[in-house]
Amino acid sequence: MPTLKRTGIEIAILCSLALVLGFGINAVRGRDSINLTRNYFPPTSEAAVPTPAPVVADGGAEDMNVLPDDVQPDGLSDSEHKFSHAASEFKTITVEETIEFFNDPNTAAGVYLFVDARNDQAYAQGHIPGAVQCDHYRLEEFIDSVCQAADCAEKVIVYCEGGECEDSILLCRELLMADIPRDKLYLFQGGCQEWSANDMPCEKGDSP
Amino acid sequence: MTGRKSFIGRADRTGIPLLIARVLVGGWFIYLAINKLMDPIEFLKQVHEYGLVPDSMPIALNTIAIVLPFLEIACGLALITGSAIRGSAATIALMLVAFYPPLIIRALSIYHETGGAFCDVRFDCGCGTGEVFICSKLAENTVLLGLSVLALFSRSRRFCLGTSHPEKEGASGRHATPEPVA
Repeated sequence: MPTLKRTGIEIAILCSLALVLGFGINAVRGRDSINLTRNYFPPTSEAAVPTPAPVVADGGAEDMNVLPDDVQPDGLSDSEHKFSHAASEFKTITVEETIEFFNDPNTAAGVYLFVDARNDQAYAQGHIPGAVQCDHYRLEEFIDSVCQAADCAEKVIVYCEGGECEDSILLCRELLMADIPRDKLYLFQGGCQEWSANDMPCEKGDSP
Repeated sequence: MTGRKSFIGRADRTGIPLLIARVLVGGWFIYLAINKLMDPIEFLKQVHEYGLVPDSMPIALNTIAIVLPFLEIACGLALITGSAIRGSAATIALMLVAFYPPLIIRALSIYHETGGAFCDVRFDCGCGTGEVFICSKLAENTVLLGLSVLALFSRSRRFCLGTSHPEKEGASGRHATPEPVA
């Protein structure tokens, strides 16, 4: 029994030490720290989910439906559920539509705004030319400038790495909470992976 | 049976099995914790992927991501130095046991998505080693759990800074001097 008690005391000391060290070092880590109270994974605002409308790029020859025909509400895996849910939450666009937006003169004029939701390292390694960075996990550093640019834009195209990456979905939710109208937000789920796979140009360098 | 017991007891008294277990488990946990601390946001994402904490409880999720690597470091250091062997071994064993169900559930979820053989399932488990095959991860955890249990129940306190065992063994590993019979 004394051994059990002593083991319990040791566990309590180790846990207390970890708590003190964890919170202490997190407090002095600066930009790499985790904000204890922030919800980094905002849930879907179910009440505000509209029926997605078809997306047509200005000057496009034909209508392109945003939802793939084979999306089914049931029988999907977890990740498929996650992304199909995002498709019903925001207007999603394919890589072809994104390329069309990119080549549109409106993009150069700032009417169409590309927003990269990835971190510094990924952004510096290559992003869609002209895209502004808005790392979802360090939102406070970027949100003001992105909101300012988004206010002047007609369409805000948000992307991240693609594949299993959900940073773009999370950033869309944050932008929605920052009063960017839902109908301005376009989610490019293919992200950088599909962009590069289509031999599209990538710009290297840090965020200005 | 008695012979085997005495062999295990004799091996344990040398302190070598315990020393190996302490260095391997402690060192490995410190290594994993440092990898997690290199990118805390990535670790936060991985913890979130397991879905153990509801999205409506961000403080709980963030606390796990902030504190867990330091708990691993504290346990690793305590094991290596031998200052709180039972407490650290018990904590590590509990963490490893608690990690089995979410690990298997996540692997099964990926297995159902991708098909193929279960052992071919590969993903980043958030352990600090990047993408791993599920079977090798389960084997690694089982070995670590076995070594932790060994450290938990070992009676030797050789090569330790302090003793957390009620037995009055000297730091040199000599057996306690028997109490004189009155």
